[in-house]
Amino acid sequence: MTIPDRSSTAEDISQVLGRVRSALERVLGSYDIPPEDAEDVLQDTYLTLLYKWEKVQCPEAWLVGTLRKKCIMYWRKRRKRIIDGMDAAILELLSEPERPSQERQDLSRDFDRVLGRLPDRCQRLLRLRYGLGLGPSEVAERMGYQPSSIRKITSRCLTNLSKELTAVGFLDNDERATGDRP
Amino acid sequence: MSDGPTSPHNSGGEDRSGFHPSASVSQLASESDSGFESHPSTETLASFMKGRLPRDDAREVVRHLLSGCVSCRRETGAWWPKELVRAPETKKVVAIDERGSGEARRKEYQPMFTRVAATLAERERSFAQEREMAPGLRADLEGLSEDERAERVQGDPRFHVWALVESLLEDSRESGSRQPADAVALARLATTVAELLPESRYSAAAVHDLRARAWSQLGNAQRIQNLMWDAQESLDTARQHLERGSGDPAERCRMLVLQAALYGDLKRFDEAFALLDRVISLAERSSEDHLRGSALIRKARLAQRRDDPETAVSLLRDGVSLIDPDQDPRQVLVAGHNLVHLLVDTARYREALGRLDEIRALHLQLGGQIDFVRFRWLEAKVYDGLGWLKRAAALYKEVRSSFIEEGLGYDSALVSLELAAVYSREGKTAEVRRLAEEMLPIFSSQKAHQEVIAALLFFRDAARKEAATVPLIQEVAEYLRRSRANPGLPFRGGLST
Repeated sequence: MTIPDRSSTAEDISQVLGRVRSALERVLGSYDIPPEDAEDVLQDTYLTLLYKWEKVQCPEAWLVGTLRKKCIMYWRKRRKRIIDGMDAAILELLSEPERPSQERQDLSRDFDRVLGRLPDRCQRLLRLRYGLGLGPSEVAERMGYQPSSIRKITSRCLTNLSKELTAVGFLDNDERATGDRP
Repeated sequence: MSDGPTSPHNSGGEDRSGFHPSASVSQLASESDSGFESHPSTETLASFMKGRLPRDDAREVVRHLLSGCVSCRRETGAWWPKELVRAPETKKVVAIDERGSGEARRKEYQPMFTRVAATLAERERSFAQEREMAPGLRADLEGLSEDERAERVQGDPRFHVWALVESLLEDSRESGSRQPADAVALARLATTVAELLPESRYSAAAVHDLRARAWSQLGNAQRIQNLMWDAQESLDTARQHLERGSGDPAERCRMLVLQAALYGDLKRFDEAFALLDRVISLAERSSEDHLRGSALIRKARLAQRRDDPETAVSLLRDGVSLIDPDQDPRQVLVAGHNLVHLLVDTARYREALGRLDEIRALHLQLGGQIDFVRFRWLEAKVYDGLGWLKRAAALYKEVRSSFIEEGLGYDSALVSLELAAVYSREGKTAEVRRLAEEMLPIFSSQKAHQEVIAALLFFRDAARKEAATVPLIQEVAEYLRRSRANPGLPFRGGLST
């Protein structure tokens, strides 16, 4: 067994990219990465290969596999950004002391209405989080969850809340009826 | 194909930076509360869904959405991140659409490939320049103390380059077996530089991979120097960086192999086996034969330490067949060395003796100083097992001196006890006593746990009374081996550990 001679890095990388380009286009397309973001994803993949060139045994397979992972990460990050933004905004809205009382009442009513469409467990969890301002470990204790699992459960409930607010018909009836399991 | 929906809100001359005309951000909430007379613009909703909206504006969008605006929910729904699915047969996350709408995008990607290739060519040139600069940077650090070097690299951006990290890591690996203290110092400096690398200049994922490699190397160097707790902390840091890295399975495999080595040294065998099984599976899936071979060899070593020599021999054979000697000739040496070790552990001294010449030659060709000392220790054990006590004692003495010189406290204590057992068998009680007296100062200087000191005191007192029998010495030696993995282990002298 021998390692391929990679002394002429520049030439080799461009050759590899030429051979694998069509496969990379397919990967980006199949993950439906928006073109304006695809450039960053692709560039990051190429640069990672450049810096690891001597350690990568099969650059073609490496590029395709790494791009796939980056596409998955891209959508996960997008989702996380929405959920984090939603969470922060709701926390701020509900803790704004300067809002007039009528607005606060309206906000509270709207929030209750949205929560009412979520699974029971999520309703309880989010009321503790937003209503009483409890931290994750306190919520876990009140609801009887393991502290180690509360992060995942909270994230699931925040996802449900975000979908409820930003997408019509995302939570179907079955999901509402069943709710989340601890 | 455009990304995102067409909006019912963005026809006409709206203010594209924010909300629909007639609604300022501050007005929006109250107006929407009273009947959704205005809506955030398409651009605002898109920015919100991409997580790029300023905090205050995001808050007002959420307020609007809370009010139940169906048209805005429809619009944001089209921006919701794609659902990834799991393939039923493999449970792996797969593409959203292997053939459908994705095909339409492919044409849109084409110009981007040309631009990215140009950027890559530019980076290649600057990377090549960095590599040329690395020896000069290393020279600038010569002669400085460890603290001075760290201070120098922190204060001068010239040192914040990838190639310097690689150069330091390579030297640390080289020093690992020869000069363990240097290996730690070099790896520590590599972590300092790696943490200072600008993510914007390289790729954030690649930088995290390199940081993970640096911390892994530091952990391994610390393990070799028996700094087990420090080693675990370094490997934990490596893992955190890997989570933010490229997801390259080879990087993960390398770190996991080193973590398994640490678990093995700590005698946490189940965890070590589980990790190595993961490495073998990951390496198999990504066709990394060499890594798979390394993991099998590590596993063999663990099986050996778990008193399962037959499994160990079988694993070792499989592992060696996958190792690429060009990529890592040292692996061949390590596997051969381990095989002899295995034969010694199973008291197959004759067979071990037959392999010594071959392994000695490999050590002289490839091994480091400490590796060779460990080989000599192995050789002494073979002679000891064969009853060639004089030859064994001479080698044990030589090995002991080398370990003391390198500051390897536990190893020097263990070899001292093996030497003491030989002397005891020869009836040389004065020699046993001298060894016992010398061991304490060596250990005291290494911040040893008080239970270890108690064990050595027990041995010294027995030696003073000329009562240090072979079983007593073996009991103390066994305690030392166990306490290495479990520093708080109590010593119950003369009873059972």
